[in-house]
Amino acid sequence: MNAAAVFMTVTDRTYPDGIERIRLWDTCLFKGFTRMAGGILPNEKRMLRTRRWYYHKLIHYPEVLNEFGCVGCGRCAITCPGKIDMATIATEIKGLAINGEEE
Amino acid sequence: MTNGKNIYLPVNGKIEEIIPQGRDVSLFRVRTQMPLNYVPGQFFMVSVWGAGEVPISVTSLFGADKAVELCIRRAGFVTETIHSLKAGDPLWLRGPYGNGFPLEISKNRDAVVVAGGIGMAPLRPLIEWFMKKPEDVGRVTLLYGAKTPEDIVFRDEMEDWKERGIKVLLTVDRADECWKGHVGLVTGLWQEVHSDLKKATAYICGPEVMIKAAMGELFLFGMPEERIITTLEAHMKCGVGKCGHCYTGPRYICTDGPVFSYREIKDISIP
Ligand SMILES: Cc1cc2nc3c(=O)[nH]c(=O)nc-3n(C[C@H](O)[C@H](O)[C@H](O)COP(=O)(O)OP(=O)(O)OC[C@H]3O[C@@H](n4cnc5c(N)ncnc54)[C@H](O)[C@@H]3O)c2cc1C
Ligand code: SF4
Ligand code: FES
Repeated sequence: MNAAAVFMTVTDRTYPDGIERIRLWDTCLFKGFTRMAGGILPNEKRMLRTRRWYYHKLIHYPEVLNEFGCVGCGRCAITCPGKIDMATIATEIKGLAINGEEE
Repeated sequence: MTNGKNIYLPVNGKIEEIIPQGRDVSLFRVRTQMPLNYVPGQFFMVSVWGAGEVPISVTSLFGADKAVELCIRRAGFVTETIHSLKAGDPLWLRGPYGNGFPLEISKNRDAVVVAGGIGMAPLRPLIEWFMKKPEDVGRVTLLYGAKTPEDIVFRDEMEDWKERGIKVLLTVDRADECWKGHVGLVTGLWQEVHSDLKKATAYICGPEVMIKAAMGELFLFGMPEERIITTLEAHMKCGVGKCGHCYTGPRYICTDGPVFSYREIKDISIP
């Protein structure tokens, strides 16, 4: 099946002395990530892209690769100002909201 | 099938001939030094240096001494650049990628091929395959819908297809003065198909709304989910299952597809 998604984009750059075809970092949280011909944006709504993150890490990876896509490093929990990081959402879905327990 | 170690390295092709196919669409015949072996339903990452790469389906049936044929619609930056090329210019190819159409499931069965617009491109080699192996398939019906009569691709070949036993039914959204055929959606032509749809196989390609409608209706007519086949489209960057751009639910269209059965995708929102 699919290898882990090393999210990147393949693009051409033209310089005065030549052309190079390179890979650049990209992320599925950008709305242009799935942009189709003619400017159609299948995942224009931010909600759809955020949902994709949870689904990809917690549901699709286990389905396809038998492993979670989230390694549990907790960096999104430290960085996220809105408490929608992976652990918070996962536990909330499980009905065990961490915030609720703390209070 | 790329040359050497780097999977992103394309092979050099040369445009042999460009044949216009109605408005905004042309057939590009591309010759590579080594023949590239492919099956109907697969695609190539086609590129022009400096402009970029786009996924394009093969529209020819493989033949050892045959050039690869690509039917390309002007849709944006890269495809516009490809259309500005002339015979003799280089075009770079990487692939073929994707799974291709399951041909064995139509063995001894009638086949219904449903195409919309440029969606005819990946289905043309399938028609050619059925004509080449008539003993392997029952009656073949092609339902093809285009915006206007001008937008019908491979129109000149369809007479030959008819002579060789394919039933061709055309319809357009908007007719002109000369048009004598059907007007309306391609899904309005089911009653013209003289095959038992419960026992037949369907191959569908076209705009997303048309694919959804055709799949759903054929299923309601009693065609089994695994014999309703389609090919999907998505934004692609790598074509080899690495970049994630082409995701559709848990699947990657470039490696798990682009050909899927209704059974595989009915629960996933497309794209
Ligand atoms: C499996 C598959 C098979 C297909 N088969 C066919 C076929 O047989 N025939 C056919 O006609 N079409 C086919 N398509 C559709 C075709 O791939 C698109 O029409 C094409 O990708 C459009 O590219 P574009 O650059 O012309 O369009 P655009 O809308 O301009 O761009 C598409 C992508 O190119 C990039 N891009 C746009 N502008 C620039 C720029 N200025 N610089 C750098 N990058 C840019 C964007 O990032 C965008 O993601 C197929 C698609 C798939 C997935
Ligand atoms: S905890 Fe957050 S940052 Fe770390 S791997 Fe999981 S999703 Fe990514
Ligand atoms: S195009 Fe990169 S994963 Fe499908």
